[in-house]
Amino acid sequence: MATSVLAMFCFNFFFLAPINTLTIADPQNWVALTAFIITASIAGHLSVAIKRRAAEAEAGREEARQAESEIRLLARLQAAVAEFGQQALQPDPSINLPNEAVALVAQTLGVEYCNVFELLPDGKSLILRSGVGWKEGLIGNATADSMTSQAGYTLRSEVPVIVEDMRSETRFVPAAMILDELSVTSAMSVVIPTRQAPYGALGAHTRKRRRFTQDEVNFLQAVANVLGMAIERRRADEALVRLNRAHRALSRCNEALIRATDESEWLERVCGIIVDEAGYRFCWVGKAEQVGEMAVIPIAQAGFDDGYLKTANITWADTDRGRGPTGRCIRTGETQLTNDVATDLAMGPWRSEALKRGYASIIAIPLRVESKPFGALTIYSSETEGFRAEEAELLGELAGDLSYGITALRTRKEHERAQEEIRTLNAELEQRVIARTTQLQTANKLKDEILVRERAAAAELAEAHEREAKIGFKIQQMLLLDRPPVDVPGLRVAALTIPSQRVDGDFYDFFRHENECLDLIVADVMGKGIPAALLGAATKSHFTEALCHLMALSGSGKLPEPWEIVTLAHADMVRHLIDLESFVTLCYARLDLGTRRLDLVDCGHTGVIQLSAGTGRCEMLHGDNLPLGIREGEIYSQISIPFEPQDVLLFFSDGVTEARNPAAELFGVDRLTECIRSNNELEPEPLVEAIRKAVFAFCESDRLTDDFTCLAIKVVEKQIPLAHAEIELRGNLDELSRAREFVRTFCRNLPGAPLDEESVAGLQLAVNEAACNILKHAHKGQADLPIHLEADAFDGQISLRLHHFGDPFDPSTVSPPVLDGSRESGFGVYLISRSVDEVRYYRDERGRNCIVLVKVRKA
Amino acid sequence: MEITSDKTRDVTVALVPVEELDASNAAEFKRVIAPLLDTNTRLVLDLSRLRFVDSSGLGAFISCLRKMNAQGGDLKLCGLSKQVRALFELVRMHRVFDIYGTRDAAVNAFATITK
Repeated sequence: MATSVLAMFCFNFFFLAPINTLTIADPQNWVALTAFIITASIAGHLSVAIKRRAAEAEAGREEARQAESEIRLLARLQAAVAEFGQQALQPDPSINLPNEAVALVAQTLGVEYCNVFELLPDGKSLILRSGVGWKEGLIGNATADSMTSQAGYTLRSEVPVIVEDMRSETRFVPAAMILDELSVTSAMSVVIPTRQAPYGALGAHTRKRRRFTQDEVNFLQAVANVLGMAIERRRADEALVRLNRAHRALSRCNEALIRATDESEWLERVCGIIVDEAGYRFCWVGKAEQVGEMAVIPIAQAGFDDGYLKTANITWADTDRGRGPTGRCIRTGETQLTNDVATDLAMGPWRSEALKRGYASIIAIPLRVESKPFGALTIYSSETEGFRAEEAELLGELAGDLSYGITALRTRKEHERAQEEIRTLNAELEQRVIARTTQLQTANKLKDEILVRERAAAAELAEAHEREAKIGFKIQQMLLLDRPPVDVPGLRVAALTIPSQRVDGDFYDFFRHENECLDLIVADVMGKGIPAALLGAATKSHFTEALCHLMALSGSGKLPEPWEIVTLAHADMVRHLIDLESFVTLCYARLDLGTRRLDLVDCGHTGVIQLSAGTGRCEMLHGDNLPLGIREGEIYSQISIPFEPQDVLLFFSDGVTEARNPAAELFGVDRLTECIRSNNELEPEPLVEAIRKAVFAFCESDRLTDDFTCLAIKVVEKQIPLAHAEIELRGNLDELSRAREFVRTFCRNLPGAPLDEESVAGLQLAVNEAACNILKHAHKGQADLPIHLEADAFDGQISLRLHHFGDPFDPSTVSPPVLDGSRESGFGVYLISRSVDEVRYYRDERGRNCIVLVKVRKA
Repeated sequence: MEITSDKTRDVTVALVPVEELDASNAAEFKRVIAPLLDTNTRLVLDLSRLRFVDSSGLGAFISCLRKMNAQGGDLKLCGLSKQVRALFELVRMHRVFDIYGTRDAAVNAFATITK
């Protein structure tokens, strides 16, 4: 535009009239001027545009050229990264990746210098790991400060650091060497990342000023990433290998422990395992002294020592010789690491010796036994930082196992020693025990014997008591209480005795005489228990004796009078009775069925109640004699009372009349009399039972305090048999048919009408069964004892009696028959009872057992 | 004692040979009848000769019945006299034994049983 304006002025000046002036005279000149300006500017614009376009085209071509080369460069970069990546993936440990990385970068980017700085564990400095263009000796040695250096700054920076001009760099302090010796102008650096923390920095430096493209920066970062990943991978692999080794070492140490018997031998083996399996350079186990210098004494070692320990003189006191890793770990109880022998200050006293032997790093793990410091396991590695965290942990575990192992071995030793001691003590103890046991046994035996004897004595005593009681009862049952005669013609006798709990002296006895006389004694000995019973038995026998004596004396065959008998018996007994301070109340009665008189000697007894059939009245019959045993030389008197048929005579003991009810009232004679009167129709047996019931009802108890004795005699019309037959059977089963024959014959030949066939069959069967029972049971062991069979026919009945010696048959011992066909025996008694109307078992006056079978004659 | 027997179809009929069966000869009877019990499953005992049986004789018959049953066989009685029958009834054995009046009745009774 300016040009145009200038050109316009020139045109105006030079070409428009007036020439050489700038004035414009002619208005037409304004048009020319304006046209000129317009043309000029258009021309100017056009030329500018053309120029511009040409420049643009040129620029475009330039750009395209640049883009193309950029693309080519990018492709190259990418290829380089890819190739590096592949290299990095190779597990070949010989490939030094940092070296490869720097070489690649230098080559690809075309820079003079490239470097990899590794961040040291302390985080304070970085060390030059690899480099291109660096002076010899710097690699692996040169360090950079992490705070001030470029590398350090790079690590702190989030993004790649690009330096155009090193000299004017303010973000960090370039190393002097960088600036001066190497004359670095531009640079870029990136972080080499690993998962946990940056490994370090990858940097590229140039002499000449250079502006790095984004692609180049990306490339550098890509290389750094791959490098980082590969380093990480490597580390992990290494760590794994290390761990595996450590694990193996651990297992083997444990295995060794199981088989170990000796402490030092085992520790040696463990050290060996550590060195061999885990690949460390040297290791030793030291025992910490508790006193003196507190030295740590080596007790086992393995690996490359070359006399190191001899000169080491390690202690765990807090002195310089005690401040090494071994000493520290014992003192503190914690694992101590010396990552770099060369630089660790505490290694002062040993550094040169250690380094000479290639010990680059140390781990010292304390061993504690029974919670006390025992010593330490110290392991030397030929690599610096040879003990990574996981390894250290495993080694710690190993040390733990060592401690445990030492304890175990010690314990085992202790254990064995203790065992030995125990064995000795045991033997001793056994001896003592045996001695003591014998003592005790003897003592026990004595005690036992005493006990046994005591027990036996107690048992005997108890038995004796029981026997006494049993005897008492037996005496009562057998000696004192006879069975009343059941087959006295003209009399029906029933007796009932209920012994009280205590053995008493109640007794009764019967003497059956030939001439229709029946003597009976009812007595009560004063006192209780066996003495009373025995006295009763003695009294009984005295009476029998007296009777026999008098009968023998009596030439005319006349029966001695009751008073005579009693007087004589008393005379024999009185002295004893007085001596024993006992007496007997007694009633001796004789029933003469011929004269129908009752002769009574009553010696202080309860009296006899006579129920007169004719009048229906009861009368108490009393004598007035003293009881036996009161006065020597006593002579007894008797009274005589007539009786009629159907009269009932009741003899009883004071256990009947003196029975008390809960209100302490006595049953008394009146009640007894009343009972008899109201039951006067009854036969003796039911009468006696009725009296019993009455007394028990009165007492409201099923136990009486005194023996209950009740004897009822009813005078009946003498029955004269219409026919009589007897037969003696021999004692064997073949006689059964004879018995049956006898029965049949008798029954069919009765005067008057013969017995009906059914009854005959019944009697026949009953006799058969009864005889069978006798032969089978009563005569056991005694062959051929006879059976006396008697048959009597009366008006109203037929009675058959079997008399035999031997054991009486007790039908109450026979259990009811089983009638379902499952049993083949046991029917006998049942058949008897069903075949006849009445069955009685008793002992007759001759002492024979009797079975009476009665069949009622049908009208 | 000898027991005669004859067979009708598959049923054996044995006659009790004595007039009286009591304690003196019951054991012998048991001995003599035993072979017949072992060799037969269907047996009839003819008691028509018996005038008197006592508990031992009864026991012998029960023994025969039980033996037969235990071997899977069966025993029937026939020809009981009035007295003998009375005895059986007295001990309710008339409910345990199958009792028939005549031989034929007993034998036929076997035939009607379907086993």
